[in-house]
Amino acid sequence: MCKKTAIWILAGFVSLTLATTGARADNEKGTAVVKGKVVFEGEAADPKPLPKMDADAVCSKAHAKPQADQGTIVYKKDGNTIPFVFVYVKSGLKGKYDAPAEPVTLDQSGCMYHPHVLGMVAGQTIQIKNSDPTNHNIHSLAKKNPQFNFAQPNAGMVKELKTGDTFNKPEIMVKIKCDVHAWMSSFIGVCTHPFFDVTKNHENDGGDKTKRGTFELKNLPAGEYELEAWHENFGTVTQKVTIKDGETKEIEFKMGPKKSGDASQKMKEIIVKENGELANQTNAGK
Amino acid sequence: MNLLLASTQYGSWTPPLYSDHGGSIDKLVDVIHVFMFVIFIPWAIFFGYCLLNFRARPGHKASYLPIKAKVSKYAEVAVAVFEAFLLLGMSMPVWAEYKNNPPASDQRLDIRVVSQQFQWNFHYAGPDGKFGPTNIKLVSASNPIGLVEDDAAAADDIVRVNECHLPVDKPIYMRLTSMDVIHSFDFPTMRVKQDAIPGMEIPIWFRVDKSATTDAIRPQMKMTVPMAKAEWYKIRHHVAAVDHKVKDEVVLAKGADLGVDLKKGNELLDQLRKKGLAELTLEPRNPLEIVCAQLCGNSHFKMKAQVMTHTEDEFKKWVAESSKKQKLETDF
Repeated sequence: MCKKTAIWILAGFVSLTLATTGARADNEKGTAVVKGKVVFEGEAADPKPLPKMDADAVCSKAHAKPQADQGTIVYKKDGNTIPFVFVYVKSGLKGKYDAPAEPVTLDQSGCMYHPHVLGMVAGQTIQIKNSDPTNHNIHSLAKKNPQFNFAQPNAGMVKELKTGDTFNKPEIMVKIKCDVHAWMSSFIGVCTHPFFDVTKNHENDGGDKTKRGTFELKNLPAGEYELEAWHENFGTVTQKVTIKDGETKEIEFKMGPKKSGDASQKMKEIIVKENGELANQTNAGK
Repeated sequence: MNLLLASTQYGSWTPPLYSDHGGSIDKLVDVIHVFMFVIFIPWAIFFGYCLLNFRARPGHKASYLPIKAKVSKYAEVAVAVFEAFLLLGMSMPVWAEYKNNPPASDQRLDIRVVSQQFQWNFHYAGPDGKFGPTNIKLVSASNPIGLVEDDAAAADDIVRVNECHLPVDKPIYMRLTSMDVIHSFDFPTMRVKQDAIPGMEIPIWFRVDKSATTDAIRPQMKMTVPMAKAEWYKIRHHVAAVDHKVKDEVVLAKGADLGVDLKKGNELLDQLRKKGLAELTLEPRNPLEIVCAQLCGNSHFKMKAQVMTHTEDEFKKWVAESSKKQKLETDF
């Protein structure tokens, strides 16, 4: 009896070791670090305020002052750095990565999404909660993943979207909007791996202004990677990085106003003039 | 007919009325109901008669055959001709007369209403009277209608989300459009309803009664709620209409709300009960609202805009104040 148990335990250990060594090739993590900042090139415009929230007493009472549109913030006093930029490894990783067991959280408080930009691993659970005593409606405008659209009418409501519900495929980026308060927006970067970060902003810099607009990708295995930085208004920028084990590299992404000449700009624009008539303008080559 | 209408008191089923044209719409609704009633009664009697007379019974088979007589054929044609006359000869000219004669452009207030899933955006030209151009590609969290902010005409424009300010006693000329799907602009207390259609700008106009400022309407909608029955959820959009006193101590001042969240609201109500307050005298925070009457889907009902009506002077003050750029106080 005792012998049999011992054999079973031994067999268990052997298979466990085999399984973990097999998985290591997939969930491979290293010791390299890529960090740096995202900087606006040229003279950035001042941040713009969100529309007045007076129509909903809950929203207007949550903020004593007008709030900035997060997509227009550039820290001009602190090196022209840009917050809310999603930086991730676009290509170069080998093997697959499992989704972490702990969920990511998207909170609605003060009629704003927290965080404004977040990253997650495909298949990871996302927890969406409402901290406001007012009705919010969470609408995902995903293009590759299944969309969702549901309401959370009261404070304290939490909904968990698990593996299989949505966000199972990589997608850069999924826009989340509130159908009741259209100024509310959040962007989710769904990656196949955990090597992503969002540049720090004035609310999560821990009091250190030099941290604003910075990112850090930790535990990278040695290799050659293509990194991409994504911003809701300034577009995307890519950069190649080669890194060895234990090395820490600092890089800088430069962004500007969206470059003209991309496909969407060449489209014919329709501008509604003051007297209501439609004027056609072609913006090509501008 | 007036006697019949008075006895039905149909008018009390409609929302309060605050526009000058709304009375005739209510009257039309009443008249249509009387006519429908007049048609309905003989028709129902005839229907009952046929059911009984031609039913199957012992020794008698049910008869399904329609009447075959020349009289009924001529009667049907006559009804069709009469209806065509009503529509083409009477109704359409009246509608054309109305739609082709909007209030003069120098006497009215123009407001662009841009609807979207799911909110109402109100665009005012500001003191210069000129609307800035818009471009759908500029739509963002801070620019809900895609106003071209570099344009000189846009500098003093006012854009409000779900918040509409109107002067009383002045023709309001609203130009409705939509950024996405068809919405139905419904302003029940003004008896105004019109679909907003993407790609089109549809004008509607009305005038708010001179006495119908928000501040004047609010006290008219005063109500009292016994403290024993007060539930925060039901009265959360109300404010105190008077100073509530217990033994000369003001426990809830006039204009104070009952908290914006359930927990704090219930705590406040409990405190008031403990202090011995017997009842609450309340009035709505904002008595007027614009809703969406588009019924498809589960979200159009969320489109509710608060409406504030002002005297002409107050409105001018609001325009002057609101056309200034909002300032951001930040450390960056």
